Amino acid sequence: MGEFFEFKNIEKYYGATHVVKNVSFGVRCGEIFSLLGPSGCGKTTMLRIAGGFETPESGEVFLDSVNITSLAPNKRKINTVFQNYALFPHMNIWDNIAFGPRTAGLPESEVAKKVECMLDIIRLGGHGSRMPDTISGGQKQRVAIARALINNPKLLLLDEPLAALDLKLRQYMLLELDRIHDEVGTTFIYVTHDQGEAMSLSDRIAVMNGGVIEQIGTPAEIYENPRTKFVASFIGDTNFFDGKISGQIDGETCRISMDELGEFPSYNEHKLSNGAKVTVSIRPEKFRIFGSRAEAEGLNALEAEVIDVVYQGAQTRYWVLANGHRINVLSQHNRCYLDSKQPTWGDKVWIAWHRDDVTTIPFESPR
Amino acid sequence: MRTRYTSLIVALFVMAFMYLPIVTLIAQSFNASRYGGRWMGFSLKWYEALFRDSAVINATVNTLAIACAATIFSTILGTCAAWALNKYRRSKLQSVHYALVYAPLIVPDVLMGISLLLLFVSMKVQLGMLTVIIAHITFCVSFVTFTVLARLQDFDFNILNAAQDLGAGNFRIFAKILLPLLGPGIAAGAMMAFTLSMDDFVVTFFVGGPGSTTLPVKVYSMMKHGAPAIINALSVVFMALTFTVAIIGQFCTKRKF
Repeated sequence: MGEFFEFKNIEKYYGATHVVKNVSFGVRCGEIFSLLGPSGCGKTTMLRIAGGFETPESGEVFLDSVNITSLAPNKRKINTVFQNYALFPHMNIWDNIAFGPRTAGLPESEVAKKVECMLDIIRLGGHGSRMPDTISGGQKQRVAIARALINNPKLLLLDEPLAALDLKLRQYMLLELDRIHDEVGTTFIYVTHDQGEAMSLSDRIAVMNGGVIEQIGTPAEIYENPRTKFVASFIGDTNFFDGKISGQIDGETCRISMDELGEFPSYNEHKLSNGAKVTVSIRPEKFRIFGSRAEAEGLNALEAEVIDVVYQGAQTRYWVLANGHRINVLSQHNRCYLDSKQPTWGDKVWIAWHRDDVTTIPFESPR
Repeated sequence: MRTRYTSLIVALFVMAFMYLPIVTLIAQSFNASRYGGRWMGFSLKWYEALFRDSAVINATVNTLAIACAATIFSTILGTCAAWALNKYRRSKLQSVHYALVYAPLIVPDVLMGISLLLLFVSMKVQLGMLTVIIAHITFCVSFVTFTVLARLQDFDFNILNAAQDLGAGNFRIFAKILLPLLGPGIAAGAMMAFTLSMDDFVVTFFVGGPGSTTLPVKVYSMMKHGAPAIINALSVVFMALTFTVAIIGQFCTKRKF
C-alpha cells in the first residue's frame, strides 16, 4: 500500500463494450497525476469511478486506505471539476462557490469567510455577484475549481478542464492550475487527451489506451523511455523501425539489425537475447545532420538525402531519405543559424545518432 | 428616420387589426343599447344582469373546476412524458412516443371531439363533467409536454452530478437545483393548459353533457337564444379571466437568469 489513492483491478463494461480492463494504479499524496489517452480510452470512466458516478463491475477503490468503492458521490471527500464547468446557472458566482459549505450546514458567517478566501485564490475577488453566463470561459473554469476546492477535498478530479478554452487561455490556465495546486496542496487527478498539458503540469502520467494502462511514469520517463509503441507514438513524434537483435556487444549494448537502416549497435535496455524481434523508436531530435562521415565520430551514422526542409524558427524539421526510407529529423538552432551553411533540398548528408538514444520496444503481437 | 415611421405605422395597423374587435366588444358591453350599433350611453346593467344569472355563475364555476382538474393532471402527465422523452431520446420507441404526443397538436379539434364522443358512447360513459375533464387532459398533455421538453433540452444534467459531488442529497438537489431551474417551465406549461382548457369550445361541445356547461358553450347557446348584450358582458369577463392566466404564464416563462 502506501498509496494515497488507489484503484485495484478495476473492470468496467458499458453494455457489451469492455471499457476498463483490469486497471490498477496508485496516486501519491499531493501530486498532480494525469490520465492521458485518446478519446474513448477509458480515462473519463476511471475518473467517474473515482468520483462515484460509475460503479465498476469488479475491483476496489481506496482513498487514504479506506475502501470507498460503494460510497455515493456525496459521501466521498473527493470533488470534481466537470468538463463543461457545470456551474449552477441560476446562482451567482458567490452562491455557486458557497454551495458545498452550505450543503454541509456551516453557519453563514463561516461560509462567507471560506468563499472570500476561495475568491482570492482564484483571483476573482469582487466578482461574487456576477452570474455564470456573464463571465468568460477562463473565469468559469476558475469558479468551477473554487467550488470544488472549498470543501477541502482529499482529492480533486479534473475532467479535461481546459478543453473548451482557446490556446492562449489554455496556457495561462495551466500556470494558474499549477499555482492553485501549490497554494492548496490538494492531490489532483487530471484527465486529458492533450500530451502538452499533461507533460507541463503533471508529476506523473498514466498513459491509457483501449481500457488498459500502457505506462506510468514522470513526463521525462514517458517521453524518453516509452515502454510500448503506442506510448512512443502518442507522446511526441518519433521514427519507428522494425528489427531484431543480431548480436551482443557487452551486458549493456547489443547489435540490432533494422530492416530500414541496417545493423547498428544500440543500448539493450530490456536485456533481450539474440533473435528477439523489436520495434526501434528514435525521436527526430535525437538525430543530428552532418556534412561528412568524419564529423559523426563515435556515433551511428548513415548516408541520406535531404528531401524536405521546414524552417520553424527555433528549429528546422528535415525529411531525409536513407536506404529508401523517410526519416523525420529535428534540428535545434542552438548555434549561429544564418552564418553557417545549412543542409538544403537534394543535399547528400550523414544522419547520426548515439547508441543510447535508441529506444527498443519488445515486438508486440497485434492486439 | 423614415424607416422608423414606416415600422410604427405598420405596427399600429397590425395592432388595430388584432385588437379592434376586442375593443369594440368591450365598448359594446358598456353600451346601454340592447342591440348595439348606436351608442346609447354608458351602463353597467348588462353586468348586473350577468351576475344575477345563476346559469352563468354555474358555467363559470364549471369552467374553472374543469380547467383546474385538467391542469393538475395534464401537468403531472406532461412533465413525466417530457422527462422520459428527453432522457431516452435516442431510443426508437421514444420517437413513436414523440409522434403520439405531438399528434393532438395537429389533429383538428372537431376530429378530437368526435372521436372522444364515439369512445365515450361506445364505452357507455355518462357524458358530463368527467368526460369533459378527460377530453381536456388529452389535448393539454401535449402542450405541457412540449413546453417542459423545451426546458429540459437546454438543461445541463451535469449540474446534477456537480451538486451531488458537492455533498447534496436527493432532497437538496431537488429543492435547490431542479425546482428553481425546471419549476418555471412546468408552471408555464400548467398556465398554458389552464388557458387552453378554459377557452376550449369544440371538444367540450362534443363531449359535454347536462350539468357540464362551460363558459364558451354558454356563450354559444346564449347567441342562439338572443340576449346579445349580456353575451358582450360575459365575453369581457371571460376574456379578463383568460388574460390574467396568460399574463401569469408569460411571467413564469421569462428567464430570470
